[in-house]
Amino acid sequence: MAFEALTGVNGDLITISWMASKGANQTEHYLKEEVGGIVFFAFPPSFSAEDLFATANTSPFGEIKMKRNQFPCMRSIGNNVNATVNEAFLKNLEVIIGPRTSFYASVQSAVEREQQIVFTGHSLGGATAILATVWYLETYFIRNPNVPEPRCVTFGAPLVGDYIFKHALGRENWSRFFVNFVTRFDIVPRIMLARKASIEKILPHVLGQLDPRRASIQESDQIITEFYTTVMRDTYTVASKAVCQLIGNGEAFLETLSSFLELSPYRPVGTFVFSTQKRLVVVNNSDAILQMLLYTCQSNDEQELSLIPFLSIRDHHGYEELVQSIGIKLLNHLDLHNPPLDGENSIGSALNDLGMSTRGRQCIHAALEAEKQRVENQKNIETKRDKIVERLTWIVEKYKPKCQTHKNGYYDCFKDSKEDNDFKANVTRVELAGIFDEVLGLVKKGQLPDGFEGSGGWINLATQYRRLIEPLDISNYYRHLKNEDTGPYMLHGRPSRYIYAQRGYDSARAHLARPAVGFYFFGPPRAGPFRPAGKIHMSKPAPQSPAGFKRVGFSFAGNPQTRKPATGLPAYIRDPQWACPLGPLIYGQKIQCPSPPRHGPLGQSPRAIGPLDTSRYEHRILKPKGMIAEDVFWNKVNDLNLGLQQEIQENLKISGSKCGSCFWAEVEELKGKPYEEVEVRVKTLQGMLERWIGDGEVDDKEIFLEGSTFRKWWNTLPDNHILHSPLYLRGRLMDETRAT
Amino acid sequence: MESSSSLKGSALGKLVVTSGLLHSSWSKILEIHNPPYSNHDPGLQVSKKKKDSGLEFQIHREEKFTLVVFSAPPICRSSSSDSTLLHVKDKENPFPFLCSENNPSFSLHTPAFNLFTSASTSLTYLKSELLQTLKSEKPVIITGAALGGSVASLYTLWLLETIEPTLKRPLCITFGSPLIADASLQQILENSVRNSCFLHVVSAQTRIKMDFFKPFGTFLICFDSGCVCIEDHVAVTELLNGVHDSGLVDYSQVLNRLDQSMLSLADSRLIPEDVIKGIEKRAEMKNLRFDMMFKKLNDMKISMAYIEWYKKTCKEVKIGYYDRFKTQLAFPSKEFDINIKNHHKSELNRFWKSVVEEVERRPQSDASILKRRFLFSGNNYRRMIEPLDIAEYYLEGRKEYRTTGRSHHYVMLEKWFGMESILIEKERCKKRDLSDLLTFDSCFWAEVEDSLIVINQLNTTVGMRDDVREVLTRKLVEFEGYMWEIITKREVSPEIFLEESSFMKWWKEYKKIKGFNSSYLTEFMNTRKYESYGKSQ
Repeated sequence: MAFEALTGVNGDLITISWMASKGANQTEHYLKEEVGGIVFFAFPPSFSAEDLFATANTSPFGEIKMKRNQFPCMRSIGNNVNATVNEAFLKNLEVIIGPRTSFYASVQSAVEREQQIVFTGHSLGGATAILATVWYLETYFIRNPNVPEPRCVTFGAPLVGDYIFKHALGRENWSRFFVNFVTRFDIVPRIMLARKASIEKILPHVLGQLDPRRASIQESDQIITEFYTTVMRDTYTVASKAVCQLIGNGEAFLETLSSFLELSPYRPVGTFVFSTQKRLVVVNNSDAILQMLLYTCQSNDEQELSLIPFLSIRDHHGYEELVQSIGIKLLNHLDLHNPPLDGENSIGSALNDLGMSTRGRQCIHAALEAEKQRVENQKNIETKRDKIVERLTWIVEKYKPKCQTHKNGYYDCFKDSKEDNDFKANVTRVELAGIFDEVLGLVKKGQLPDGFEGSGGWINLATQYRRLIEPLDISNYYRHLKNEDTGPYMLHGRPSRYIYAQRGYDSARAHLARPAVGFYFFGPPRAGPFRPAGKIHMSKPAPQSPAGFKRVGFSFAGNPQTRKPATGLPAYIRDPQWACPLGPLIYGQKIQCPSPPRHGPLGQSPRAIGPLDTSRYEHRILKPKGMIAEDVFWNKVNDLNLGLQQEIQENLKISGSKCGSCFWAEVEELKGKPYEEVEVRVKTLQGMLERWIGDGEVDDKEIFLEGSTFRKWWNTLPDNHILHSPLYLRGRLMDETRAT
Repeated sequence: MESSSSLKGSALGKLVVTSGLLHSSWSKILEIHNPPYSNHDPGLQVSKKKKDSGLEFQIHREEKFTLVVFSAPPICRSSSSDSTLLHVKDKENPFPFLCSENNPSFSLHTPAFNLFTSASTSLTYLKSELLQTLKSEKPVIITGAALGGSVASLYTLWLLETIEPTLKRPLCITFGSPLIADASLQQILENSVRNSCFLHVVSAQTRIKMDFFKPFGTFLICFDSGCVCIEDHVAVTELLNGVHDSGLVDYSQVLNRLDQSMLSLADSRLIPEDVIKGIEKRAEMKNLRFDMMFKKLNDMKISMAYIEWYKKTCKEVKIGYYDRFKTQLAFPSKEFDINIKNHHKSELNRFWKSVVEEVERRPQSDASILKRRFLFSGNNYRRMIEPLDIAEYYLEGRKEYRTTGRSHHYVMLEKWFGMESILIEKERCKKRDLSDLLTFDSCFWAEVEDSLIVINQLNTTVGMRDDVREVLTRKLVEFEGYMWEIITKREVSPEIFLEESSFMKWWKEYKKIKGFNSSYLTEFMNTRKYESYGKSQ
């Protein structure tokens, strides 16, 4: 059925969801139904004001930021902002998943049996269903590839989260799991667009009217009319602002005006199904849905207009009828291919049925056009990928080897800039900066599809870029002594394109556990005689193998000549389109692996450089708990036992040790300073170095070269320090000395 | 299909109307005009009345923002179109910062200006108070009806100068106020972010006289069935220009009508098609200009990287990039050279000329933000590229570049770079290795060329009069002094001492003229001390 193709749910599933939602009215927390192997969790609605606006919450829309450790994916990666949701709804979820109910255990057992779950609810129960689905996605779905896709079906649910909430679900490709039914005038899906202050007083009365257990509603209830007008006025403000932003152009006045406005942050999420007498209109575009929430709730018929306040309450109880009529109604899909402005097509008549005015259609059109533009923007960027790859390849295959013959790596060659190649590298550096800044500008302004941020290909490319080119930017920075004007590179000098790229990389590692989403290897190529291909040792099983890690992906150095993985493990490339252009890497393999393999110290035994490193294993467990790079960094620093935590934090405030590609910036900062002053920083740097090399963040073929700034600086350190420095470091520095 | 400008005008209008800001402002305006008898508004803080002028203002501290209301007596008809001219150098001008390079003076509406200046003491006090409010993150609305709104606009312009860019900008809302700015001020504000701080509510029934005064800011034009919000001042003029209508408009009614139209679906077309087309065309032009500046910055960096590269290759063959460029101009051989001239140099010149133009259009303080942003890259560009322009200039057989041939944008870039930055640079050059240094004085080669011309004249002119010879010789001595100064200050690139350079050519010639007369420079050159010039000390 077309409906299933559009929404991901079929008529039966909707009917059962509705029955369960209705049944949940009688329960305190949730109702569980199992039909045909699918488990339905339905949540009861509430009609008390404190379940809409949390009592202690002082924000104008009862909102709160989601916690990163509980919902690590619910954020904007690039801009590094967590999603915002309604606090009352979130609290309700917390009660349900808490120890007072059996919900958690029920979900757990469904997960263990690999059963599909549908979360559902009517009214505020729908809001709970949405958050429960997000919780399920974060807790089970991303961590275990065997967990089936959930569904979330809501009926007349209020909006739950903000733009970032919507963006994050889009990025993870999770929006498709949510289907929301809305009868034309139902006020509840619009309530969260109003300011708490403007509706607070009359809210209890209105909720009383909305409660199906109460007496029937009157047609001429002045408070209801007032409520409707207030909600619609605020909806108007939100929707008009959204349209102005979609169209763009002349934002300065809008910006000035905005600091005087209190606008609801909430946005629609997932698929919306609007229903009229004869039709169902399916919409996925969040911006378009927002406009529809406004324009479908109006009328040009005076008589109907006066009835709308009443209808806005009555329609909240129209879902039984809607569900029953799904099979017999006409179906329309509103998207880019069925634009709303083409006169007499079926979508046109559907919008007529919904009472959409010309202005309303223009607004929807603007929303769809903006989506089209985002897709265009991405296409436009995609065309530049070849150029990026070509430039990076040149650096890896030509520039770096050439520099290495001078016995000082490309970092130092670039700093001296004596040869043509150095200038060519400089042009390359500036060209790439231009491309990545352009991408960054689009990311910052949200002018790319939601999925872009999560697309492995770009994260991979940006990581390659960061690792290869950031050293050149640092080199350039210190070559021109910009540190004397603007301070250390890490303080004000680091371009945001690298900061964003790093965040993308850190967040991607959080997803390594789920091959279905796709994961990618980020290391630089490991060609050359240094790294013999070899086997991964899997002799000792780890003490414990956490649940859900049965099948994991990882990457490792293969044989540079044959480009084959060196082990006989069943491995295959997930997405050849993204195959690493830079070297003999096979990445993205999926393997059956009972436990993480052990690997010997660097340089001694063949090693895995994929997520199966023990270090990576730790990441994988940390990250889904919301560990960000910063936390991982401080954890590592604590392991180094350098002294008082507070002192150390002060010392490392602007340290380049926070990111491997800033290694050179830290060396530059340390080299002019007396050892006593920077002891903690020196030790941190060397403490980080081994993992960086393992991760591919720092190229060990470069830094140990005779003429490298690092090596020269290292030799100036006090003997006592060198004597107590890690074995591998002394080993490497001595090896190279012997070799030369 | 209707265009997006029309949709935007209507959406912005709806946004303004549903935001409730107009009501908040208007109700306070009503209050100041008809004070209620028992007024104990706790939020009301100041109410000052200058008896002689009749200007009055009140501050209301609301929960979300602070409101300042201005009230002024009705305008005397005879003076309603008088204007006062203010020049950037006038001591009496309270708005010198608004002047731009292109528009050093502008005129204001006299009645509003007089009211504004008459209350300057209490307004200064008000300003410091509002700045405190803004710093506490609470935004400020400044409002007034009729002439009161005009004074509110002036006051806002004055206040904006002291507001740091990090603070929230205030919003000035006027109701049916006379226009206050002439074409010059309109032009200045059009290129400033200040323009976004004005919202003028006007009824479409009022006809505003626009023969001298011009609109700026955003206009909310109210029709019977709805409203539109437009920034494009040409369109505003087209929609409102007409016979001055003295009939007073009651904005209470206008606002009520707007409220009623909010939830109805009537979308009548409020702006004529041709006006919309004009708006779109102008918006596109403005975008183009803007793109030119910011999107191209990276291309410019690429071109600079190429020229840096070019400079390095030239040095390798013992000829400075200046002389290489000059010879290649005459006999182009390599593609690299041609590209440098035809592509990179000309792109850079075009770009920086447009940056300078843009800056000159803006009021001083807006311009200074831009200047700061482009300071170092602009300076680098000037020092790197101007020598190439000089090479072209002298190759055409002309002379005296500095005084007669120099492009305006170089002069401005040099002026902006300013003394302070040079001092920092000088300090830095004292010890450092200078091999990457770009000569401070970007007209250095012009000096060399002029001096070569002088030598040539001295050598070739037969029977030169003594006084002429003396003048020319003095020029040479001056040049020598100049040379010695920049060498001792380490402000000149060591590249000038490369064998094939024009400067070395000059030296060979000059040496002959100079004979055995010794000087610092001759000793420096003769003893080949220059070979170690610029090494780190």
